Amino acid sequence: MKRIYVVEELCNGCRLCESFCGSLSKGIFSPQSGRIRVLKVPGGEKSVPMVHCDGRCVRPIYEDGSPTCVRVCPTGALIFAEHERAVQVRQEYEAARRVHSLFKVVAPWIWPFPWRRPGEKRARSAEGEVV
Amino acid sequence: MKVRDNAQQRVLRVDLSTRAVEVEDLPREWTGKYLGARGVTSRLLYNEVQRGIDPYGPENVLYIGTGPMDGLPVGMGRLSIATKSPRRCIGEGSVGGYLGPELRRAGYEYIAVSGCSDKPVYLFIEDDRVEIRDAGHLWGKTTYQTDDLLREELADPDTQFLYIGPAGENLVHAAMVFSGRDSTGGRAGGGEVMGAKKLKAITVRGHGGIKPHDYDAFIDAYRGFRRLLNLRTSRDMWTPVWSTYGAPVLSRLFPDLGNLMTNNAQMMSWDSEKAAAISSEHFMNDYVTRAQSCFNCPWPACKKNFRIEKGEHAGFTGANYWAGQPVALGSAIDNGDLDLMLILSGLCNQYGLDIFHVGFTLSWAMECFERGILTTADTDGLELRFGMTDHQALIDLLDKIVRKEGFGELLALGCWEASKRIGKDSYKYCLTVKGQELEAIAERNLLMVGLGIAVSEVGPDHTRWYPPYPPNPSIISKEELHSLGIDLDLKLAFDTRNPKQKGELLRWFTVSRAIVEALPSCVFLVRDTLGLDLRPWWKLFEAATGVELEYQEFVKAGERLMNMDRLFNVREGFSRKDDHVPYRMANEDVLHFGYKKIDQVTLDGMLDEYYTANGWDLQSSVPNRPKLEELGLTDTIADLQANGIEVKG
Amino acid sequence: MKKLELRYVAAVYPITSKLSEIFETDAGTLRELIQELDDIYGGFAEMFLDSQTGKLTLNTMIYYGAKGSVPKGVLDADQPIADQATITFW
Repeated sequence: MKRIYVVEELCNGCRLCESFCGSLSKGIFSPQSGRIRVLKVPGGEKSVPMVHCDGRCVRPIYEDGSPTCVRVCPTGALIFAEHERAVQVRQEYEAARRVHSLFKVVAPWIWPFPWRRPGEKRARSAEGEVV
Repeated sequence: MKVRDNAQQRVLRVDLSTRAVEVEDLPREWTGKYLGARGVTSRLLYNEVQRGIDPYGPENVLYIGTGPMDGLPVGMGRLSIATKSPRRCIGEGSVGGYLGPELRRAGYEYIAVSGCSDKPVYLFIEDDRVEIRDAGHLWGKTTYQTDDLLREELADPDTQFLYIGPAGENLVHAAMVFSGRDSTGGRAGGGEVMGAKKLKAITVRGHGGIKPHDYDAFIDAYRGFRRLLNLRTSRDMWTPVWSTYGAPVLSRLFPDLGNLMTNNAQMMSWDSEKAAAISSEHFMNDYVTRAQSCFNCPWPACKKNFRIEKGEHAGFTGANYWAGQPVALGSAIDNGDLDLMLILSGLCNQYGLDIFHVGFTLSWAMECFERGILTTADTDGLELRFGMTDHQALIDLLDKIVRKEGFGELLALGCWEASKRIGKDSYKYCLTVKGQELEAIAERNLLMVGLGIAVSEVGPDHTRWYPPYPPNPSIISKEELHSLGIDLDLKLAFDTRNPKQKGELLRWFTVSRAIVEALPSCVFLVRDTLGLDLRPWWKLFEAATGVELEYQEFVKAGERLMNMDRLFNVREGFSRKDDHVPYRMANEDVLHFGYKKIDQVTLDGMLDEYYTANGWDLQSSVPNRPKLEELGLTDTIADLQANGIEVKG
Repeated sequence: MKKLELRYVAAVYPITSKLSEIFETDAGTLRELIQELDDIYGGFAEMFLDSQTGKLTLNTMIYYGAKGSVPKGVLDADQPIADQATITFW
């Protein structure tokens, strides 16, 4: 069963997930109404999305079966996957981030261009890997 | 949950002299006529701040405002901060962060602060509860300390803050206003005026909700909007680059193009090793800790937090290394040390100083020192040289600027006022217009930029019209542009060194950016076709507010806002003579690249075209009667005439 | 053999893992150079050439600077390249 997983390091605190989730049932944008809240640690050192949801939006804004929060997140901090796949993606992410500093701020599954995987000689595309 | 009517905007009026607080509904038709944010604050400023009043006095009003689109996921938390600048012109700028949506959820779009408090205060807003509270414990504190203290006092993590640093308190030139940590704005006068009113901070908490007038239409428009901006679908080379590595990547392009102001713009290219040393790639590798962004931004990492890991400043943290620092705190002072740049930039944020003021005033002072106009007798013994590597000396100097002590007192004036005090032709080395320092973009290679900084009513502010280059021609056809009312010869208009069509082009950009800022939304997002084809913004606006405007009426609102700014300035006595470029750009060619100076003939040609395109008088730059009639601003005519301003036509 | 200075900025950096290099090549046009770099590093062809039209992609840019000249943005992948040019890939 697919679930929403959070890559906390990628959260930039924008709160798009909160805004949209809250709006899906009554059309009102407010942080309090949804199933995801972004906690901001004082001092601005990090933001932590806290989600309590099976990923089935009451009225998703995209028709492809993705949870709305996952689709609107600009950095890719939210992923929707089966547990095994989520673990795999997370491991790949940690490895990628060590090699390319770019992935400190954006997920490889959001990045539009090819990049060199750790241990491989030639860069390849991200197509088909959107999580 | 209280839900706002997005077409009905509201002002919270606070008088710090009398301590009176009242709430006023704005005329409903203003939403369609002036949109919001900058549009409304410009109109209020014109109506309420009369000619000749003292910018530091109680009659000046500080407006902080958002608009009908904020709190919705396209507002990006943008706030307009508008007031009469200490330089007498309109002082308007915007800032991002998270305060705008909270203000709307509390029930207001604008805060209008008049009067002056006799003691430091902060304004506490929580829905209907508005209190003016003592801020003695915050006065003198840096922005970071203020943020921490307020967070301790008002424990709710969703309370948003706006504050100034010690620079604003001490009325340092171009002091900044902060919408939360490291979100800066208001360099045109907001920080100084806030300090003059002894208003240290504003705290906002709102429990309402924001509902678009037509949710389904809004979502539909939003999906289209995101497609133009998402990294995988945006047809714009800057989308993936600026949204991650950031604008400092330009330090790897500008030197080759002759666009990089080096040594106070004596040269326009720089040592390539230094440019590489301060590059975005280096910053990302060795300094960035995480991404940070404004409210609901579709981009990953416009702002980034950084930490200096090694060396004498190890442990220093800050955020928001952007396009200005590589120039103002980099090439302009010949500093190729990223540690030093980040320390200075970070301290500017903590003190509330404007990096352009600091950078270009330092570079002016360095040139004056080179030329013997300033000596160690003036500089408290400091040898002020381009490329100086004494970190502590520069850090100490920043401290002196904030306190206005010793040599810092001269620098705190900003280089234009400082040059008046020093004399000896030192004004020739000021990179200023209307008393305000430049930003990061070159003029003699990009003539639209030269014109843009000359005419900008607040002083140089590239966000009012940037960028000066077109989208890829294959993503929008001439026919489509014609149907949108844009009939420029794009090839000529974007021929950056040809003065023709620059006035027309600038007019279009100024109008379109004015609209985006007024919604509000972020002008950084005019990517793909969003800077030329405003229909996505128009659809979002209608879905959000229910206000139905023809597309050309929507565009006209942008023109109206632009004219309001000009009206404020002409009433204060500004005219064509104040629309000029810095002395260096007007008198010196760019050696090695062969770019010509922007001499008076060239500037005059561009100004004539710009004023004509706008329907303004060629000498006074006052909007002519037909233009005011077209824009529905004839109510200003009697007031202008009463102030001795002639309206022609 | 032509000797070129190649610069890799921002988005290209995760492909090459280097910021610049001096590169020797017989490539006659940018298209050929892109192909050659793709053979070495991977990623270049996909990033810079649209797979359907064969034209340069819309979300990238190449700046071509002939020796002694100010660089200009390239719109045509079949633009010839000269010895000692500086080519910057964005």
